[in-house]
Amino acid sequence: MEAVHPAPLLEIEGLTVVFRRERERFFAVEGLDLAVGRGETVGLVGESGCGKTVTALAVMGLLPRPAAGIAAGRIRFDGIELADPRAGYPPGIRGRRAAMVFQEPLTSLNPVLAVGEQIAEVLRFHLGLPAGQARERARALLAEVRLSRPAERLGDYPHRLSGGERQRVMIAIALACSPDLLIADEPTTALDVTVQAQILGLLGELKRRRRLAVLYITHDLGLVSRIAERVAVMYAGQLVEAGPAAAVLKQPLHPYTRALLAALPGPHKRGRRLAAIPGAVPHPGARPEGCAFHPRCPLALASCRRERPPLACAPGGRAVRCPVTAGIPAPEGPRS
Amino acid sequence: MNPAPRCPTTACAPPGGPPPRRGPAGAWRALARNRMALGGLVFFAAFAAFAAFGLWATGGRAPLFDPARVRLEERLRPPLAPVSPAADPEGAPPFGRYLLGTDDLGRDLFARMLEGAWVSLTVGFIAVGISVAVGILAGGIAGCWGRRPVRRGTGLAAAALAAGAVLAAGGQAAAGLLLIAAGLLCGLRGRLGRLRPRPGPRREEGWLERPLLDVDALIMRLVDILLCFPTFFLILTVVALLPPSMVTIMVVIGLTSWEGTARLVRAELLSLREREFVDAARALGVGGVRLLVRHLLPNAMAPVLVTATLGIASAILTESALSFLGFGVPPPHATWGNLLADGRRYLFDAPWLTLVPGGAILVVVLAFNLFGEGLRDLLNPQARDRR
Repeated sequence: MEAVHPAPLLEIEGLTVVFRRERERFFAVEGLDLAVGRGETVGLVGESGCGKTVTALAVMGLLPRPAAGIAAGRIRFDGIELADPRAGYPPGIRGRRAAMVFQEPLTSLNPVLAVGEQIAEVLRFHLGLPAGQARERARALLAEVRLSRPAERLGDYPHRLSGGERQRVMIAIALACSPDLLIADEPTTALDVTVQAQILGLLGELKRRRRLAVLYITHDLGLVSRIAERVAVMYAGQLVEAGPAAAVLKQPLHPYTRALLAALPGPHKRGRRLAAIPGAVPHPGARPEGCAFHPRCPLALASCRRERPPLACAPGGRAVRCPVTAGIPAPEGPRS
Repeated sequence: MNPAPRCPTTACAPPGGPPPRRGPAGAWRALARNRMALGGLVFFAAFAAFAAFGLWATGGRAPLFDPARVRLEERLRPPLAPVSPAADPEGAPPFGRYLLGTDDLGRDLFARMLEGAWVSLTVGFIAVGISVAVGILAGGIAGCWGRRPVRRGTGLAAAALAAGAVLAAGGQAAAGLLLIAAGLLCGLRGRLGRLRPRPGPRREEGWLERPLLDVDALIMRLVDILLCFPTFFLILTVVALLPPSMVTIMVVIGLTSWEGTARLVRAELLSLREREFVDAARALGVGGVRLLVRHLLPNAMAPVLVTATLGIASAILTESALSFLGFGVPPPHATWGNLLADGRRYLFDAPWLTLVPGGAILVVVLAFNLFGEGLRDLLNPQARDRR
């Protein structure tokens, strides 16, 4: 089923993020287009170093300055421009209407503040709640993220909580002010699998209940199918494929997406070697000419070495950056 | 927007066992287990009580213990010596005994120790308060906003302002004010120039706007320079030039001992800035001064408080040394340092005059050092649990 989202909550157009170091400069993200509708979950997928986190930081206005900056493009959040270098990052977005959950729950909480304090701080800061109300809301939030004995946990320091519990607290803090958008940057990567499943379930439940838009960043295509309606695949700073999650996972168009899917373990692959993608993601300063993926691509043509393929539309609301497979649906499902 | 979420876990009963320690109560219990820190704290409390009692008992028109009453006929009496029946009963110490003996003018040593305790306590605390405040400010600016450039214009403006102030204070009011005005003009011009939005991607920077050095370099090099001076002689010089008073001594000790704190705070901030929870706090919209005060400084405070406790001990020592050399709090008032200095001359005839203030300084400094050591563990919530 394909949902129609007339006015996306978050709209990224042609986002280009540049990193400068001494004399050299390179692009961590190049011309990224991405939209997240209200209440929609979009999975942003790619290997490490593809520019996923940089994209998230650009949306939150947290790019490390002065090394990094937005060189071109626009980021509109509910009609508000976030990427205008002259105006600066508008107030009242960060933590209030858009929140972010980080990859490392173990280090993302302030070690010297009790967790209740940390939740209450956001409520007091953004909503101006008095201390007593903020504390009560903090307790309710901890209950909402399914932390056991929430009232007692308010006074605990982060080191007394397990990784999963800390990530729940991080989610509670992020949701404290009822944001419209939640950016989750690999929120389960540092957790073990059972906890990962619990956190994913929690996110799905919260998203339904609060009509929360989620930009879910992960390197795990398998996860995306469980949580996202649409998926965008990044490679070397560029979008290589985008479309409804079910369609992309069933019939990946771009060779990179296919390779990622082939690299996933699964029950039907038992006893077989997992297909690794040869080579590594090129450093942003040393990307090859032409299609960035061509050195690792099994289908590369001679023209792929010279010309950079454009993002082309494909049937079913999809887009793919590959002239070889563009119009042609993949002959079979994930190669295995 | 959202209705208040309902607690979905009401069904599960809280598991048994004692509730975990937390908050101040946990800190107290941890303190109770740390013998050294507890000993230091008890000593410190006793010292503070002694000093406060001294303030009350030696002040007023008819003090309980009169530190200034001279009785030449009772000079150099040993500790616990009874007041001789021939002496003037007015202003005699309670119990009819000199608890710690008398000095060469027949003044009650216990009364003078009482008076001196208050001096040592205030000097220690206020001097360290000043030094910690200045240190946190300087270190905080260097650690948080150290990458900001100081432009030539700003440097020039500051130099002009300083020179103007010196000239104006030196009596050349006209020239001084002219320089101050020039400095202000220079500074304002640079500021306005930067505030005005300019068209085009990058404008050629004027001579005045070129960066001279960054804020971090400015502050930390100043610290390096100040650390090059032998502090005690610097204090001696300043105290010799300024009119002697307790305030001068506190301010001078405070302003010459903040460099260590500044370095410590800056170093802590530089490492904390890279920690993930700082990014997380930024992502929640916390920034600027609030980030510094609420998230960064509390994490940097443990070493600062520890050095501050040690600093109190060293400030008390410095004050004693200054008084011993005769540059301290002026004579009618007793401090432990000048008691020690006065007693030195009678070392063999009346050793208590040296041993009592000397021993008191030793014990207080030791207590502060021990407390500082223990405080380091108490301030870390994780270490607190581990013990």
